Amino acid sequence: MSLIKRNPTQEMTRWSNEFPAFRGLESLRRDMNRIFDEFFRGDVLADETFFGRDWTPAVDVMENNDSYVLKAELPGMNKDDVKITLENNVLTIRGEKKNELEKKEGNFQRVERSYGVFERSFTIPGTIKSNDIDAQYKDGILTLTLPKAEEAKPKLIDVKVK
Amino acid sequence: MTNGVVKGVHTLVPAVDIVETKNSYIVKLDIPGAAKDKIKAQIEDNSLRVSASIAEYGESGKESEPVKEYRREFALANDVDVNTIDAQYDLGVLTITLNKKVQFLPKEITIN
Repeated sequence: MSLIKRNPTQEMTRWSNEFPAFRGLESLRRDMNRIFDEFFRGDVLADETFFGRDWTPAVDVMENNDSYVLKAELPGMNKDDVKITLENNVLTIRGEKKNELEKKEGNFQRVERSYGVFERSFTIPGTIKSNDIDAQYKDGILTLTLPKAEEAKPKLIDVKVK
Repeated sequence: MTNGVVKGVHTLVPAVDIVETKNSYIVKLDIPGAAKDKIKAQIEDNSLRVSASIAEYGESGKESEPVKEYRREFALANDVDVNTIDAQYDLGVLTITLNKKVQFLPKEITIN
């Protein structure tokens, strides 16, 4: 018995060769791929997770010459309820915000603030000094500074003109 | 120059939770990144107005012009005692406690 790995692209191409009606589908597939590629390209830190969470904190990412700076809005969270991990160049921020108002006796008139589990992951494009990552939490904002490794910094090479 | 449009300032509406308890209303607003002295809460004409301007801090630690502004207004019910309002800012959350006027508090009447 032989196991052949299914290759949907190849299958698609074969189908469209045999049946002209599938050509439209094939070009649609290419367009979709292109749209997805373009959507994610150019994103300095590509966001990896979309599912399995109750809310998504807003995040700003900046790139400087020496570092990437990531700011996440986590109002009302305790520092200890936030976990930051770095694994295979993927930085993950996760945690849980408990609803402190639920403990109080009363009627909710409005609930707009977010509670529950959150998780966001970012792929770091270059090499960073993983031992020198700095995390600060102040006034509901988590600021992560990821210093770039020397080889990832932009280099200015002087070319001598003879 | 001064055409009333402030360049680069982003106006945001903070998310709010409101809980009514026996003696008070507790209002919680998410205002991450504000300095305490840049948060304003005012009572005027039976409404509570909250605003906060947020500045960014550059690498030099110098404060920029405000980049964001949070604004929200609430109409107050007539059982709110405007003289005993308390506001606390912690972990990016502004908590305002509005006590109910004594005459509106639930009371038990003893039968003689």
